[in-house]
Amino acid sequence: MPYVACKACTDLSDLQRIGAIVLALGLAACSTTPEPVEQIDSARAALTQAQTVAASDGAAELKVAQYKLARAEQEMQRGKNEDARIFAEQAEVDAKYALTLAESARMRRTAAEVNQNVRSLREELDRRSK
Amino acid sequence: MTEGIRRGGLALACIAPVLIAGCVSVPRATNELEAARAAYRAAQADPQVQARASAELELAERDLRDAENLQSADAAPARVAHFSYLAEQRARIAQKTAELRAAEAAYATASEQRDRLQAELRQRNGAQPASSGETAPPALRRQPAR
Repeated sequence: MPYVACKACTDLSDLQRIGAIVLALGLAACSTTPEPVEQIDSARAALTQAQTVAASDGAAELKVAQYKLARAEQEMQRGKNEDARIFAEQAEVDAKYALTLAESARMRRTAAEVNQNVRSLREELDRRSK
Repeated sequence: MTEGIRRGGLALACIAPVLIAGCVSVPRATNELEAARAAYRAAQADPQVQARASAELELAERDLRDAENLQSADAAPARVAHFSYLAEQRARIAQKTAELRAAEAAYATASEQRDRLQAELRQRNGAQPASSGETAPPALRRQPAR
């Protein structure tokens, strides 16, 4: 259908033809985004960091991030840079979320353990002062 | 002259489908944007987030603003959905960061208490507490090596 409409383009004057070519080039340039190498690197760094902590807590979120990073790399290889960038950026926030989730859970557990120590020490001191 | 107008019309007919396909998007990423707004509102309403993760909340706000701007500019729904997703995750990151920092503060307080109580217990365990009130560990009583 667009082809039929554009058959009429052959009737255009030189100036109009040049205009059409410039417009087409402009549209092509807009749709060609650069390879999201930086975004993929950031996502990989975030994932590596998260993997050291998020073994149990945040494991599901980490899996999502891994999948998206793999997709980002795949899309970039296929020249789909815009899709690759989107997957890479999402992989990064997913990995960061997994990391924060895991760190928070770990720190809460550690704090609870120390609080338990404090309670035991208090009890022992109470026993001795009687 | 009318020929020129006719040709201009034809040129417009050539590029119009491209422009329409590229710019005007009928479906909208309303659900994603709504989810992002809700996540941001929840984070913003949390005083712990305000106090302990304001920088992280700001990042969420930035992405939400981008998503809102794209939506009002009728951008491609995929782009709106993407920035909405980033905003939602960043809002959740802000909440978890606040949780983490609160836990770190609780840990620091508890550790201090534990250390104090342990020192007290050591003092009571000692047969004769030092008259100075100071119980240095044995290693520190030794003369420093010259």
